[in-house]
Amino acid sequence: MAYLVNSRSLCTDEPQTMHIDLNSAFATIEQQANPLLRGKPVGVCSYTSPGGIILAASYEAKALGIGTGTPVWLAKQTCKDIVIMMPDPDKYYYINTLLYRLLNTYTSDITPLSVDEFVLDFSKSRKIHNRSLVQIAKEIKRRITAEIGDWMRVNIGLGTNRFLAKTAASLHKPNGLDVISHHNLRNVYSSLSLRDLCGINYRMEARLNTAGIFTPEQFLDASEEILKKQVYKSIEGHRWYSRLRGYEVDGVSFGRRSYGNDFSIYKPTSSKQEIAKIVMKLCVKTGRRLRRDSYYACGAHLWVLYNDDSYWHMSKKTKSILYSNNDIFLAIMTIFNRQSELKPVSKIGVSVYDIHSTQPEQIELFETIATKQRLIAHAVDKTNDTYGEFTVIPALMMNMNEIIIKRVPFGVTQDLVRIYNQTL
Amino acid sequence: MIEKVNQTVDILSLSRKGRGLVVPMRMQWKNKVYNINKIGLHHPVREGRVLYHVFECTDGNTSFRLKHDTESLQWVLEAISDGLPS
Repeated sequence: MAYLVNSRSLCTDEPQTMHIDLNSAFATIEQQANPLLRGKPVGVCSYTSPGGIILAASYEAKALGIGTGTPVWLAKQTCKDIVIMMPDPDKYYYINTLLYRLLNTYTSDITPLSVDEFVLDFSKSRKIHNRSLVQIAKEIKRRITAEIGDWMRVNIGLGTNRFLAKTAASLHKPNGLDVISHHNLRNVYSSLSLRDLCGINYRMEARLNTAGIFTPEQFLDASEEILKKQVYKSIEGHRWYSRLRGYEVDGVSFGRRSYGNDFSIYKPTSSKQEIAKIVMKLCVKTGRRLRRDSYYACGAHLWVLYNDDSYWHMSKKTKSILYSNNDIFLAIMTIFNRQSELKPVSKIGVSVYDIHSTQPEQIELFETIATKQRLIAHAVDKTNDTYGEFTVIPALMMNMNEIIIKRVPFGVTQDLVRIYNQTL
Repeated sequence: MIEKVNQTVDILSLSRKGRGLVVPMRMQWKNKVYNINKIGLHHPVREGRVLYHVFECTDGNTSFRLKHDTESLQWVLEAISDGLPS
């Protein structure tokens, strides 16, 4: 395995992994679009109502202590002049695509990590660039400002692996450019706390604390044995041992294994009729994406978060395939009805799993009900492709245009790759 | 404050050579003429088969969200904003 590390050795390779992070992405894009918002505290929220959550805060808002996850009511209490707005996913996708196109002129080895983050691997294309990666990074920054928008700023980090590149990109926000190599690795760790490291949350921090690790330097000095057997109790201990030293352990991409959508209900409800409408819309959105990528599924999963913060979920493998919206809805509602008690629901999510490609298609000798349903699903998809999303909808979804609006799927990079392929 | 408008408007536009793009220069809405002096962002949006070009622009005092329908060639003023909180 490429990432096996000898005891205590740091990776001494030249940093060739570049992490690019758009500063306060959604808020910055809104400030780019509307020059009157520049220099002002802006919060892009899931909902503009007091219970809504800020998804992205501009740097002016961050300076006041308002950040991602701050509720709208608290943001307004902290700063009465904050401009609160809803997200505009089409705009963010477009900027993401422009960024991808620009970065694609430097290397084809680009991995979009989310709608505002990219990793570029120069290890295979290093020889065609007869200048340093720092010079390339500076040029990328200049080009982003000149070609995408004069308000657009990115943090760029360079490292020997993705982890160090991301850490470097977070050192001097906004508009930073930093390199972490074996020369300054220990110095950088000495200036950080454990929670500054990507992948260490408060739970993981507590586990490290239990093993006597309180700083990133102590984390670096911990033996592989302790990390493997005492802290992580799994191969993850070895991965962290390698990751902290600059060896690549994260450059693995996993294929898609499920499709799903979820929805936060503004006014929690226990009305089965209301919930069924929402479930239908979630099933329609899930089914559209499943069919668009030429898959069918053989399992359905439903999770429900109740108003009292309790949680219920259930998965079920299905005997028949899930392909049309009705197939998915039927499977999900079957699961839904197995709840022992229906309490007010505040958030609900559906997904389908155990996916298989529909290609090559098995042609049936005799037309069955399933064949007819598949043909209907294709016809409806084609109509919606031509005339716009939700032109033809199930009757259950009538009068719910404003319910379940388009959201930004933060981590669904497969969707981003599809968008690039459509637009390039 | 962002205010939804959704009204068709008169637009004087400019086609720039080599860029294949028409940009709004002047807008007449409610008997008032606005000179657009900065386009913050232009992005295309596809709704079904119809391609729209959305321009977020400003005259310096008010920002406008204009949507150009490439099929009907109509311009719609979708929203205005003064950049202040609602």
